[in-house]
Amino acid sequence: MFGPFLGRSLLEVAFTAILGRLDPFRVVILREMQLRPDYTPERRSQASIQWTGDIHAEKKVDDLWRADRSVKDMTRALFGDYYEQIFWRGAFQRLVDSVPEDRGGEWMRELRRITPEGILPRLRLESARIYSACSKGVHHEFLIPPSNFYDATTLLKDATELVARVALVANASKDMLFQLPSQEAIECFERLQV
Amino acid sequence: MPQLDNLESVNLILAAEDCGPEEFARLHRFSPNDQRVINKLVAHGPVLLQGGRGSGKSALMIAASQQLAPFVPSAVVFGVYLSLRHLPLLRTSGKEYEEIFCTLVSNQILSLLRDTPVQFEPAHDVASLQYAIASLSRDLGKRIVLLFDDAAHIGREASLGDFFDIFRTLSSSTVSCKATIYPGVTNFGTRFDVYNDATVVEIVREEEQAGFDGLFTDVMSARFPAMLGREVASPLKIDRVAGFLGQSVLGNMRGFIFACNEIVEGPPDRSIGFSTLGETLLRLATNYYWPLLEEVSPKLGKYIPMVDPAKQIAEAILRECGAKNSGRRSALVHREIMSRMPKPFEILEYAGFIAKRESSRALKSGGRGSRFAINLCLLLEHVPGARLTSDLFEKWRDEKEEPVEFHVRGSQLAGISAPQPLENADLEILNEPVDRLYKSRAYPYGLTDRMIGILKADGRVTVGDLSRATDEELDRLDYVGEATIRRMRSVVGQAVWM
Repeated sequence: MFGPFLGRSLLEVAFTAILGRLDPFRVVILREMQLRPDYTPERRSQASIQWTGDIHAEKKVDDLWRADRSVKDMTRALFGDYYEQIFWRGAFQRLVDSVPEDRGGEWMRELRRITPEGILPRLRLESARIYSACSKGVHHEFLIPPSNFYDATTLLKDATELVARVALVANASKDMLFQLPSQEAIECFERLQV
Repeated sequence: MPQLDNLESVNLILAAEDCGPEEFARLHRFSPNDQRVINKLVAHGPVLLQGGRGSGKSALMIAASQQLAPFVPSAVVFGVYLSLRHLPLLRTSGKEYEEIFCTLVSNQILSLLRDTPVQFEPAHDVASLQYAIASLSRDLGKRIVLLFDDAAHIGREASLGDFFDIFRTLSSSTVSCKATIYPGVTNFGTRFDVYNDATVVEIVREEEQAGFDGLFTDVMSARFPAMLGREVASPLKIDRVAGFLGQSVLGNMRGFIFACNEIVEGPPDRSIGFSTLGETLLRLATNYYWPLLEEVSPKLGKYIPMVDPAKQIAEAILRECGAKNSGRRSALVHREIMSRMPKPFEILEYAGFIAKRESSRALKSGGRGSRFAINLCLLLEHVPGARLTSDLFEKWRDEKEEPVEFHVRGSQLAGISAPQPLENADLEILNEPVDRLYKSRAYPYGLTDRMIGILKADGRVTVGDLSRATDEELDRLDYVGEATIRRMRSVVGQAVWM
């Protein structure tokens, strides 16, 4: 019963943490708003981290580097088109170049078979799928037993694997704040697979 | 009427889809990583299962279907496995393709529901099929997984677009579609985005994976139990032998079964040592792998001209890797070379000559490329002396090594170019004479002289003629019974389908 809740929480917390390390303003400003005396959890805050908008972009951007595009029209979503180009591809390339061949377990071997151009579409698709599946359980959308649609244990495992892969790739970037040393990151990654 | 059925016996069972459920369970084994793949096939979400020829795509799909209803009546998911090896699907497109496809799916669902009171309305178009399957999900109270095998055929890319359109349309919150593809399938039509509309799951068996040796020992034990009783020359042990054979064929199940069969067909009192293993690898190279490129060629449609450059690439890589340090097991190919000749490389991957291990790795002199593991059967041919010694065995089993790099300029691949695909090419295999299907190393299910004579006398002179014959027409022929018809279907399937 708690699988979807845990899975969705894991995704939201993990991706917010990674977003905060890339774009600290986004997370720090939300913290400041929550410290204001007039902040109340009963009222929806426009500054809250939104899955659509902050993690996934609202829409695809064509012609990313058009000269007349203003900064406010450049999505800063974690899995958005701009971060794909300026962050994720380079991070992934650094990761596959830095991890010794015999380290990282089966998950790392799978990552090595993905191209730098393919990594973010893959992460987007998987994160969208797992988040959507978890959300259906959270919102009690099912009028028939949720177990007919998914195995919550597997969903949680999928969420864990996804978060681990995203975190490992992000950690490999020099632009990431509070990086773990590479060796420590790989050891964490390997332990999760046992 | 005398039957040919009992005159020949086929010892090799290569195709999972030819097994009944009990035989399937008896012969097939799965590693922990294979189980992960099966879990993804059972789970919700669209999946494309990618693997080369003989890698076990069908076996994994069938194993997944056997975890679902109606096979397991209490399962919360209803699975429909369907092989799309139907010639009319290859010859049609558009509305005609859609109608045949929907009819096949409907018929399969009806046969699965045969012993239940659940109703299903057969459909002949995608919209009706979508509705019918959604109703079925509601009536059963179960999620639906559709497992499509052999949907893709690069010799006939028009039908690929039709199939993936339907794949995308049928996928919903209650229906998950899964399909097998192989390296070389790159045209998914205009509406299907392979990055966003499905997860590609690759079948990969690498010797570094946990349980690799154990898997191949289990398969050897299930299919060739006599081998476990054979003497193994010291310092070898049977699990090391099994693991080495598995590694040699890049983890490919069909290649492994052929390798074991080569050993079993040899003198039964001969111990299994380095010379036996070496001879087995060399025979596989000569009798299976190189002929495979000839076998595959007439199926490739407009990509037939890519086979010659594929051979040239293979020979260049094997020469270079064989000469260096007595056989280096992997090659790192600059991505500019790959982008110049993608199809020949995909053909080599499909045929099991090479297996991609890394998509993007830095070369020492700059640039990035893909790293491939090399089939050891073929590599051994190019090692000086072409002999498997104990030193070479240990080196290939246990040593880490750098890949041989192939740069844009100066490498043996630099001078090879890929021609343009043919315009308006058809599936040549259908026009080939039926003699092509003669029993051979390439076609262990193949036809005998007598079978070929009977077919020709009946006016069925090409592979296409045989593939179009109905079971009733074949049954009317002298000396042809149920088992022979099955055998004919099997060899035609192998010949026509990828």
